Amino acid sequence: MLRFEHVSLCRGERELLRHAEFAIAPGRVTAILGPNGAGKSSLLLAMAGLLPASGGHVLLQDRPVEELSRMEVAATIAWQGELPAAEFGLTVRQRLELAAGDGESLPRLQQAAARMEVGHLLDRDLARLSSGERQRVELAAIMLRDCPLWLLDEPTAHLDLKHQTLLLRMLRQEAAAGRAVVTVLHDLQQAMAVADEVILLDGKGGVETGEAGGLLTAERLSRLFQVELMSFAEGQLLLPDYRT
Amino acid sequence: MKRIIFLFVLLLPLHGLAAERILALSPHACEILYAIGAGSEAVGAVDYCDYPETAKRLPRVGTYDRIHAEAAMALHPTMAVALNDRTPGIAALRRLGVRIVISRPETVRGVFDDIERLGRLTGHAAAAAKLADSLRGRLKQLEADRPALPPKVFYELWPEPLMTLGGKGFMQDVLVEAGARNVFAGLPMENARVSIESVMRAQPSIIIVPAGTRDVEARRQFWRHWLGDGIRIVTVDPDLLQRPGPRLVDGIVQLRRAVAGAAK
Amino acid sequence: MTGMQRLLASLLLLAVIVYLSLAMGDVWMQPFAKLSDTDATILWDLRLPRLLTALAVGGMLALAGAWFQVLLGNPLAEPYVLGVAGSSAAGAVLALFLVPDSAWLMSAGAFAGAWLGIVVVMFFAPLGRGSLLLAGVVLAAFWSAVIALLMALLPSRSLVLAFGWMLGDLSRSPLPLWLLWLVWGGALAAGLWLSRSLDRLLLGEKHAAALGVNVPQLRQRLLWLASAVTAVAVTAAGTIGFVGLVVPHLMRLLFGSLHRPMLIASAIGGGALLMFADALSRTVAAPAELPVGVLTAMVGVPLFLWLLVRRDG
Repeated sequence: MLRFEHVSLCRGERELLRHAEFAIAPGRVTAILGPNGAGKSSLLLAMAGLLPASGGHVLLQDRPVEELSRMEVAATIAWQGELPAAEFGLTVRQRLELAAGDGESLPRLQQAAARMEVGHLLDRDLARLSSGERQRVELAAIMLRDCPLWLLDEPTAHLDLKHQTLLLRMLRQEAAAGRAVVTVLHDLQQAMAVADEVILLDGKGGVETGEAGGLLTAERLSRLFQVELMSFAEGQLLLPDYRT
Repeated sequence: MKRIIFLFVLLLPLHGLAAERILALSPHACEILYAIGAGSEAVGAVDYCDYPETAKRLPRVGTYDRIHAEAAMALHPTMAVALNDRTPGIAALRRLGVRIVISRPETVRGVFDDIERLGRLTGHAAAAAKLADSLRGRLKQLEADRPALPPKVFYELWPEPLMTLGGKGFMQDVLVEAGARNVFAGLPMENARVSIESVMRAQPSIIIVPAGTRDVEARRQFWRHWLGDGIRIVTVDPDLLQRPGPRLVDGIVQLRRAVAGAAK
Repeated sequence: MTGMQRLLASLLLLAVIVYLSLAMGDVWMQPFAKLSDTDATILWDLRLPRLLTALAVGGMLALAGAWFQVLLGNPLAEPYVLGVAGSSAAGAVLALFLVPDSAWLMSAGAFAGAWLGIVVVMFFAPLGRGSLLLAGVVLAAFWSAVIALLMALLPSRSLVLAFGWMLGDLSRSPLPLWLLWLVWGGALAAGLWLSRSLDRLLLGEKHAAALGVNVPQLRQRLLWLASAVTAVAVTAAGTIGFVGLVVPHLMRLLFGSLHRPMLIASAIGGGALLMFADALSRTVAAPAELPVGVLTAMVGVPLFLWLLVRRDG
């Protein structure tokens, strides 16, 4: 569905990605992991064609993404990122309608809102919600975007444990239904629980991709995050030592 | 030796200084100084000090509302005749020892008083008194045959935005002396922006247009359009009429004639 | 109130404002009564064209303000934020400097100046929102320096004209009324055509792009559109402040932020505010006239603050 061929990516003088090669397939959840500033969000933007690659090709359904119109890309890719601006005062309903596009049925909108537990907030002003509530609105907005590929930038941010769990379960369900999901995550346990594939960015241009089971090891992640990780439960639980 | 000669040359202007070295910081002050025979003592002037012809040769030290103190002091003035104490630059001159004289007449008769006052201050009292008396006499004559019912006039200070004279200030007095009734004399200000609508409603019979760079023919068309073909347009020389100086009475006479002619 | 009720109430209010603006002035007049010739001339040849000019100019300023606000993602943006008014005023004053007392040439100078300002701004259009805003603010400062320079060189007698021009005046538009209405209507139509993309831009540029909006193209279009409309408004009536800043916010408070209702409301509401302010400007101190910009603020500020407090309080 989405393929990176020899892609390099720069931010200013810094090279975030060097000659990256990987593919995103339908029905799989891919987690992007890496230290702060490694370029996880930039990588998502490059996938969405919102950040031009400095080398190589980003191919969306075998066509270079930069040759597609924004409408064509938007029909295939849904993107969730930072919380949208709220200074001009949209209501939750209006924000969801903007994601849904014209002619979206009302029941579907209400259904998405209900799944993210923001149904009772529909007529509230975005600016007057808590960040957790706003994040849930964003996730409801993503659910209204029936695109084959979802790109999620820290979807668990601002969420409490209950809603994080709700979200991760939903991601599995969506993948099971055939959607391709790429998500930036910070929590290793969550990544292990939800990801089929991982993309590890070291922030110096290095990229490692592959099956989650093979890559998410204490040794590799210790090196990546520069924190000693201890392995419990046969590698199912990776924890740093917070107390020394 | 050289140094002594240099010093002598420097002091020379001060030596000859039984008389003052005067800055004329408004056009009317400049005219008054020349009219009372103090023109030779004028050493500097501001923009629009253009009468008499010789005044045009005076070095400029600013505009009537902003004085360049350094340029002014370079002329070694002893006295400055200014419009206003608060004009930027005046305070600096005063601090440096220049005697500041304010002249801003509020009435036509105030002009004559200022002429005499400047005469006394500059040592030309006799010539000034003579000039003032003759001007007073001419004005008295004019007042003697002032029309019983002066025609209603609109004074077009500026065409766009349309501005006119209110009832306060020097120009209102000038209009009265010229035998004209300002339709906006009731406004409690010196200058006012008014709408065409208000002018139509006030029904002036004469429009006074200060001639200058303005296209008088265009203004005539304009007023005919709104006030009808019966409206009379009269032009005046603003340099005569709007300056509270020695030529003011000439301006009043000119306007009186024009208004009387148009009212017939 | 429902949307429909609100719309009807607004239209009723508009009709009242139009009626009042016709009736108010030096003397109160009943527009539909039997009038003398002079009164008829005043009403139909003086008040009506001025009212129609105010409607178009106020509408244009409010539309341009709304566009600049979403374009720059800044609620404090207004039509003059990128210096178009400054360059326009500089052009007008320059014309005054070259040929004194020619009102016609001043208008030409204003229009040329506005376009010069636009061309300069376009040079910075590819910058990010924050930088574009900063570039605009700095350009505006540059233009005011140019104006200050020219004013210092200008003969004192021309200053009245220059100040009068900058304060704004609806009685002397050099552009024909039909042209103003054409631009006003065209601007609104263009705004409605772009309204879905504008709505998405409210979420931020990345969100808009992810939803299929060609953001660079939209920015380019908005910048041209808003600047051109501002140029026409400023040429017609000078730099009337406040309408372009506050009317869009006022209409967001009343009709919500989605652009289809909000732009229609701004185009009409901005006109209504300016029209009413202009009527007041020739009434309160009659027969003297006050600068219309003073009245727009005096009418608009209390109204806006009241709505703001009512919403948040």
